[in-house]
Amino acid sequence: MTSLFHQLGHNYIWSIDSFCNGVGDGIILGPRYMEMEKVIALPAWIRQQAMFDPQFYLPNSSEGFLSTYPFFPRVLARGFSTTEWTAELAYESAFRCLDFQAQMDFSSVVIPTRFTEGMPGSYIENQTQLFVDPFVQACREQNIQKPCLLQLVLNDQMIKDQDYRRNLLNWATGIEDLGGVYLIFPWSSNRKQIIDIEFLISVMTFVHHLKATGMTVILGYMNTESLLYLASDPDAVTMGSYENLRMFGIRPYQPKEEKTIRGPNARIYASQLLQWIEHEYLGTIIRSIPNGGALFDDNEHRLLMFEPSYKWHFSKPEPYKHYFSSFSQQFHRLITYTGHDRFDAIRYEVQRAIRNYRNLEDAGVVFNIDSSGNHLGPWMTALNQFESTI
Amino acid sequence: MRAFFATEEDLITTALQSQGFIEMFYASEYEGWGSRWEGREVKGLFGIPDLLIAYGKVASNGQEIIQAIAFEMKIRNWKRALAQAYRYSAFAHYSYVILDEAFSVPARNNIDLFKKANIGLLSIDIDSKFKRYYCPTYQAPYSLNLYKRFYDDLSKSLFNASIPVDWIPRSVSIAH
Repeated sequence: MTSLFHQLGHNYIWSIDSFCNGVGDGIILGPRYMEMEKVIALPAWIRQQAMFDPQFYLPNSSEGFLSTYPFFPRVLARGFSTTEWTAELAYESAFRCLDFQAQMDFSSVVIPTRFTEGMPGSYIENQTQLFVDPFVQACREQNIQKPCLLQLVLNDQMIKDQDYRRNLLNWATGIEDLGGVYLIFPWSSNRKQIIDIEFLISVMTFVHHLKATGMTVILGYMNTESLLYLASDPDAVTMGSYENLRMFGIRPYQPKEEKTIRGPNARIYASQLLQWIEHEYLGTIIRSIPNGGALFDDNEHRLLMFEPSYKWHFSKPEPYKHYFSSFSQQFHRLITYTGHDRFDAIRYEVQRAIRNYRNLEDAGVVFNIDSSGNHLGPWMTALNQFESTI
Repeated sequence: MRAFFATEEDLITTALQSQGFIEMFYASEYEGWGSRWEGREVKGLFGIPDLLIAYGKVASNGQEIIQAIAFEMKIRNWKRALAQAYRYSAFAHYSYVILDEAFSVPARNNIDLFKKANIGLLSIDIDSKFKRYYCPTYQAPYSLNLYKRFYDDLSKSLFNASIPVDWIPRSVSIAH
């Protein structure tokens, strides 16, 4: 049965609150936004349902709370460079990182990865040398009994290239003692939804093949496309609050730029549109079609947001808590189906969203591209084409 | 087909100085309104309108009345302009797209979308010839939140430090 995890980041307390209120099946912690002491202070029952992502994406990063973890490469080596990252340091980092994960009694342990752009020919070799071999060795020596997951951050070029994908598949499935993979797909477009059909099919195909080998597959940093990916039957997908938890980017791990970055416009999740809508459209949606407000699932958070006096801002918790609750219900509805019935159930959700958008358009509502249903056609195509290949 | 205007700024300048635009938005239609406020590229609302004009008057019962008109001006790409202008309907009573006449045909072929959305469609050519393809009807802004925020600020500008309505700008540059 597929699970739904909270991907934690800035203001992680909203996700933990939501989890404590019964929304979601687990959490994924990370050091960028959570200092080590705070992780240790979590109640045992939460840690037992958590995964820890060591976030070695940029091993030399000094952002956030990464430096509170003694095993983080920059901390351990007092600065990180591949030439000075000796086998001894790699092993020590791996040993301490795994020891921490085991001590915390997380549900599984994670072998971290480094963020890479393009399609380097030496990708597998580098990851093996830097992380996989030291972690596998440390895992054996510590006799860790938890499932061991390999993190892979695969960009669109990597995942869309059939040969590259096949090599990754052969490599990952050939690593001894590995229980599964924790996949992350950075997305370079400025658009808020994925509309690249080839990318969507490639992800689902990769998951399907990994699953066929008996591996556990966890998909991290997911936005609403995770509902589509349910067709490939992963073991877990994630949901997150801020956009950088729903679409992986390397920027939070890079030194901050001088320029001020404007916060995103506040949005609300409309389960029946499969989209996050800029809150300003609420009024026109509600008044343009009969029962327009029903496109947004009703829960305690919606009640507050629909008050005329509610002051929208992207840094307020209600829209995200509303999303967690709404998305979780949608997710759980879909996973009750299996096999081709699940495809039909997902197709129904997408078709319903297309129909709702059409009704709104017929009523004269014109959405900006990032609030529109532009992604739904590509999603439907990707779903149908993926189904025809399995 | 070559564009009449090299840049959007050229189009905006020409549009604002055209007789048709002045008559429609500064003169006849708004005679009798007490004060006017306007801003270029007004930020902090929903989208950034190229031009925002607001008129204010006090009714006989003492009630302050405000009407706001928002403009999105583009050389081409009417779809994007329509989506932008629709955003402005969140806080404005009238919202218009002004296109380069040379590229207005695709938009005119889709005039029904403008009508359905109640967004005006106008065009301007290099000779300052101003054409009206669709004029929207009055409509209350659709975002209560924005309406309140925008109009609270606007009423101060309109009713405290009013600009005489017969002042017709040749170069509009008031920033909000």
